[in-house]
Amino acid sequence: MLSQDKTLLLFLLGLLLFASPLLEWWTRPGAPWYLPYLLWGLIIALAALAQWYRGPHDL
Amino acid sequence: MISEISLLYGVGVAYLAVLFFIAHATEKGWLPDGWVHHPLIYTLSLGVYATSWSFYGSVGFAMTEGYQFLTIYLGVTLAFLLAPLLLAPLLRLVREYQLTSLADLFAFRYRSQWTGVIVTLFMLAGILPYIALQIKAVTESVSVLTRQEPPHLLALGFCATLTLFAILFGARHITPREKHQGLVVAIAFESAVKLLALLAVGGFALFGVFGGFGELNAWLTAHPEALEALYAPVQEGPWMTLMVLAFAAAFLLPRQFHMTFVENMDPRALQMATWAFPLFLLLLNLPIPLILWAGQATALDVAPDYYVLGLPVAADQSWLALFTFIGGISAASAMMIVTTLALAAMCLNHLILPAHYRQQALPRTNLYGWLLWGRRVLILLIIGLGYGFYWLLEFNQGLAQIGLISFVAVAQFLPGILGLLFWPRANRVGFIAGLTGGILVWLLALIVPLIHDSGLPMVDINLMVWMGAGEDNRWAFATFWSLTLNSLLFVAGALLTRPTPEELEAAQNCRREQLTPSRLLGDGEMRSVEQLRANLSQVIGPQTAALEIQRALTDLKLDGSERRPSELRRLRARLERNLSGLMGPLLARMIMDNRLEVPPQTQVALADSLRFVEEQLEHSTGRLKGLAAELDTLRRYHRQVLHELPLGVCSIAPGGDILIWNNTMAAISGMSSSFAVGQTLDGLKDPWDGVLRTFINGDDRHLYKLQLTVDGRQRRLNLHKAAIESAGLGSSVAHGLGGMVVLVEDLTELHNLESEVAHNDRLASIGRLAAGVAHEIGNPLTGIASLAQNLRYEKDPAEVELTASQILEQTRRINDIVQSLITFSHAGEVPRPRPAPVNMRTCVAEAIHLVQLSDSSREIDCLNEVPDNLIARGHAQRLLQVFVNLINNALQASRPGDRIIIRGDYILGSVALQVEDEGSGIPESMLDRIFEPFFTTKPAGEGTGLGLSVVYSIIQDHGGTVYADTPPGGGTCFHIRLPALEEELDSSLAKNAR
Repeated sequence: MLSQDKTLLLFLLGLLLFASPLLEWWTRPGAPWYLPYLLWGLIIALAALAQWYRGPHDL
Repeated sequence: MISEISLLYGVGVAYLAVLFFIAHATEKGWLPDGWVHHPLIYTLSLGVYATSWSFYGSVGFAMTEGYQFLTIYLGVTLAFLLAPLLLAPLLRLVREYQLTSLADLFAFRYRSQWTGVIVTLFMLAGILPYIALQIKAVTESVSVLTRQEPPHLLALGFCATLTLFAILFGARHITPREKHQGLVVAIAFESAVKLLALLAVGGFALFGVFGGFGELNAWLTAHPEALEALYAPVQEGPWMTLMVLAFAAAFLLPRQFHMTFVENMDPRALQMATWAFPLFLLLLNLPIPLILWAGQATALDVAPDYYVLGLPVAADQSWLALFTFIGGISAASAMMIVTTLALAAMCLNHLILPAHYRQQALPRTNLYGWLLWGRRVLILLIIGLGYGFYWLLEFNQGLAQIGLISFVAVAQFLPGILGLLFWPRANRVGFIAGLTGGILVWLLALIVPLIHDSGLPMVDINLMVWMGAGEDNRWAFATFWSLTLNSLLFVAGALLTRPTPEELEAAQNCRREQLTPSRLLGDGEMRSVEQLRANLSQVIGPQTAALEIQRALTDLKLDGSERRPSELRRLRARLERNLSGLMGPLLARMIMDNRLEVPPQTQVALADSLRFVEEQLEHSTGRLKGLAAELDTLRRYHRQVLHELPLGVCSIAPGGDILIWNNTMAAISGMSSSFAVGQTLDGLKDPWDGVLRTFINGDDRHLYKLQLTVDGRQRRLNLHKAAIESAGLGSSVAHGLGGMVVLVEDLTELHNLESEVAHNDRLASIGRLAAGVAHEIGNPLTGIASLAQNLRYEKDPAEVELTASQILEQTRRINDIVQSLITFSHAGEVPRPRPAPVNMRTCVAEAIHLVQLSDSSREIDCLNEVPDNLIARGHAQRLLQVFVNLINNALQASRPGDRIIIRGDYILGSVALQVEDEGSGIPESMLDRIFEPFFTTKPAGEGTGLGLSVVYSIIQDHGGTVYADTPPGGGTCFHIRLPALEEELDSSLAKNAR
């Protein structure tokens, strides 16, 4: 997958999690307090993984 | 409990001194390079984003807005996820064009002095509340620690101290350029301190207040409203608005722009920052809910904004409280130092310098010192203005609310930055109109009500009230309407007016689509570095001009004696970029244009275009995809082939600039490719300048066996040339291409090898002649011995005289033989004399004489039928070798009683000779191969196979031809053509005519 595609996919995933009606799911009553951090950490982990597979000039 | 304000002040100053020591140690190289340049340092330095608002204000923000406080960091995360598309291009632009601020970037793209002025003034106005916020946070944190109202002097003392440190950090050196490695490391250290302090307080809240995870969960189960208060506002509040604001702030806030782009030492560090910086922010925010709940659980009697500090104070944890206070100082001081440095650079480049330049008031001596002092005064003024803002306005709002005013302000640059990166049609009219609209809404919706609420005399205008919006939607309202109006005006302005050529050029630079370099000087504008220095001195003074030119020369690895037009053009472009780093892009261009004007019709030289395209493609490694990547690979392959070709290749543009000079050409000429490319022919070393010019301007497409002395060494070269038809190139990039390609074939080695072969062949011939020579010398020696014997007893003087004469005669005979051998063995040695007239009959007679020394010639007649007047142009000794070899060859093929006849005549203006024998002949199938080296029909050990090859080589060298055929009567006939001597030819033709 091209690095620009990875970038856009990650960005879209970020939008999906934090700027879409999916907000209602993770802010539902009874959700653990650390859930936002967990989702945030997931995005960061994916970004680190994508960066790992990018070439040295791929930025 | 800490109750002494002076103690806290002392701790603060001591901490700042430690920071300064870290910066100083970095600049002195006391810290290991591996640490200083590690991407983690760059990532941590971006932590300047987290100010007092994050450090103290997040808890208060979480209290009122729940998990919405996370948007301020989630927006940044989204911006960094887009780093390859958003941040990396900006970083490239800033580095490549040495831009020092957002105002520089916009002025570079939207090409207007007004752009820089408006951006600077608005940024200044937009950031002042943020600076005031830091002052407020520090003074209130002191109040929390000491439990007493801090004196107003404390805020002033804090500002004065920070002014001093900001100057020490960023305006200490005599060259006020934006690259402060020490500052980056110090800010990274501050980020680490902030993070550790917050994690420590978070840890204390979890384990010190609650007693562990289990107890925390139990407390949350007992108080479900606490968790509900965090989640509920997310669905009701301005979540999306805050995300957009944080997304813009991530790279548009002056301090973020400064640390992300301007202070970046290595673009690769941004790779790690794309995930490590969001991770830093996550860790920074992880303790916030814990601290909030701990504060609620212990019913702290301080404002939630200061729970971070209040928690250890209430628990009497003095050391933790002091560490937290230092964390708060870190957050505030980092923001204020970096922001003031960035704003000072903007004010200097876009307000102060242009005004002085217009009034021709730039100092002629010590410009650097003037700029440095200008920057120091501006730092003082900006912090002073921030203090004034803090002092005048009574902030009744939380820290986050004040910070958000600045966030809405910087978000107004979002349409401009997107246009800069992605929309070539965007122009200054649209940008200024959009920004003005956005500023207007920002002022009316946020600033005027803020001033009014502070009790200052201000008309009571509130845009939200006018438009019937509720106060709850303040941020969404201000952000939506300011950005909407901004974007609409930006697009409308761009669509209704046309971008100027300069803007189009800048747009291409921003999108890296430009395939020709920016305007550069045409030929004839600059002749030397000295001239450039003299012109520049008139504006920035001789001292600064000399330093700047030296810096540009060093950057390009050139020296002051450079005269190549293409290199001088590069030097000018480099100089403009360097001046841009010093004085901003617009002023740099104004100075360069005014002093080194570009004629309107000047075309960019082809050499520059090609080099520019090459450089662009080199930078594009890894970015080209699909067909473009394949084409680039093909281009690199072709270039490599061209450079590794064992022929010298040199291409010359129509203007006379050298475009290609491959490795072999460099080896032959003794001039490296880096020296030759970009030179005109005049700039090449002797004798190449004259040789190439004469050859290119001449009619001949080939020049054979050219003898040149290069670096004291004789070289023998073949030159070939071809015109490059521009019509065949068929590309807009190739417009104006064409010119000439010259191939240079180095024959020196081959020639030396041939000489050696010929020499070996002569030695072999002498070996073959040895027996005959011995015999020939033996006869006269015997005669001399007999005569000398008789002489002993001879008394008659007449007889003695006769005998002596006979002895002398025999001696002369021996001498003749020896001389012939010497002459023969030395034939063909380099350096050779110039071609001279050679009497062919004499030459053939000499050859027959030599050959007849051998035994094999005893019973074979050699007839010399060459006429006396047959004169060729050549080298007598080398032609002698030709005939020795041919006659020897004939002798070996002949039987006893056969004859060898050598004939000659003038035919069609040249000397024609035939060497014919009556021997066994050569089979027709072998006739084509007999001149090849080492080809022989003789049994092994009897022939070297070099004789005829040497003949061929010598005749070729003379510009003649040689071939063999089989006459009808049998045997072999060698036909030779040699250039005749003109005068002899004329007289021969005249004789024939009579």
